[in-house]
Amino acid sequence: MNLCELRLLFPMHLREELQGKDWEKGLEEIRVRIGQPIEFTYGDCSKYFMDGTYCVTNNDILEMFNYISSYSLYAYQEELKQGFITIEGGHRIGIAGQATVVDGKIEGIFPVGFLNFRIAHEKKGVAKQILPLLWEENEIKNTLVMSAPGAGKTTFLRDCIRTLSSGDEKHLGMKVAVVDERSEIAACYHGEPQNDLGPRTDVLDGCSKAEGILMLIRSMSPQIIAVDELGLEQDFFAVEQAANCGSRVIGTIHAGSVDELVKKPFLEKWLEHKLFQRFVQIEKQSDGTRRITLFDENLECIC
Amino acid sequence: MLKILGCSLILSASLGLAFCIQKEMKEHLFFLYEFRKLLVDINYEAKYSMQTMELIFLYRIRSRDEQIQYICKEIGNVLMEKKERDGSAVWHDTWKKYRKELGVCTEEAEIIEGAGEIFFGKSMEENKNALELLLERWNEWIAMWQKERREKQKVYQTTCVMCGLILIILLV
Repeated sequence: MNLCELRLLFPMHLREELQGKDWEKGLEEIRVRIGQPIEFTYGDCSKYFMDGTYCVTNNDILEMFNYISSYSLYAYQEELKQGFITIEGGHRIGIAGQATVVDGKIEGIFPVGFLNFRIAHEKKGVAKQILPLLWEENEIKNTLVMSAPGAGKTTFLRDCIRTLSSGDEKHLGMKVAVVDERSEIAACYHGEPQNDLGPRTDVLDGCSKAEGILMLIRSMSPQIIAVDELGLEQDFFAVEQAANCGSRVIGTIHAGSVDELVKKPFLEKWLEHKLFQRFVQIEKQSDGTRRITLFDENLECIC
Repeated sequence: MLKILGCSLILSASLGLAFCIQKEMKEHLFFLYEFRKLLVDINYEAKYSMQTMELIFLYRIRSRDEQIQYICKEIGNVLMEKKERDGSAVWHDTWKKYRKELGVCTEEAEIIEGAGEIFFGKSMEENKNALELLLERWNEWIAMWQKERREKQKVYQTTCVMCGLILIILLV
């Protein structure tokens, strides 16, 4: 689904307003909030739909939700529990509203009052400069990519996967297995990856990281395992197992800096054991560009 | 001679009529069973393949009834276009459009056109419960139809036998 086709997810009576206008250029997010105007976010600025004269109604959101789920809410029950739906093209729609909680667990969100369309961007080549520094002879080092939310660690990871899978002039392509718990890396839509992850990549979509890593080691004999948003202790146990099985791991974690990283209590043990030999820190600058810093296993800056 | 000829004509006409009505009823019964199968199939596909309704209608449904197959494709296409705010409205309108071609009576049309509600609920559980209720109603309708068919069959058989007897008496 290209950006123009996103129009089809809007209520019928608003689609005409979106036709032929250049609202899609540089679009990052579309924010739909009940009782508020629709907001289009472009990097460092935002615009209101119809100059803010139209406010979204409950019926509009219901109609949009029907289109987003292709009239099939049942098919998105698991995604709804996590608060987002991935649509064709890899775009993700975050959902908020009244959460239905059963036995302390979120079973769904209804009625939905807030939608956030996150437009998928594939930025090829962002890892090009750093990737050669992650190699050690013919193997890649276990690497942890860290950044604050929205700074681009998933984009960086995706580019690493694609490059490692495709190979380059110095290295042959490697077998990469991706555990994509939240469908962020491959953005699978009905099982088909919407993002280019290279020719030698296998994707396990919608499976928890800890289980998925172990399953992939057994089933796909990967040389590299890629995972997004490592956060639980069990995730790191699985990473350790993978590392002990001869596979290499590239993962991401939410941490704005090295200081924040070392403060994570469950990570202390693995930092001591030097489970990861490389740490990539991504920072978003005020002008929108990214600054990438590389650290070694002792958390000392390499470049 | 004229009487014999007249009786023969009546006999053949009754037989022809009975045969036609029986054939129509058989075909209609086949449609009722196929529609029942369609409801179960859609629910099954939704539950086990977890595909969206548009894909189920377009690619997963295989019905032996050509009309049902055609209508399903049309529903799938309309859903794909995303021009109707509610999925059950798409179902309702499409079946209503083909009501005459299907040759369904008012009661059947009411059930068929309202059946869309069972596929566009918020969860599988909701859809499953709605399907159970609808199937119960549909099975009752099929049972009633079968009973009616048997009764009509008896009437036609008796008529044919009577005509045959009259013909034999005349011939004797």
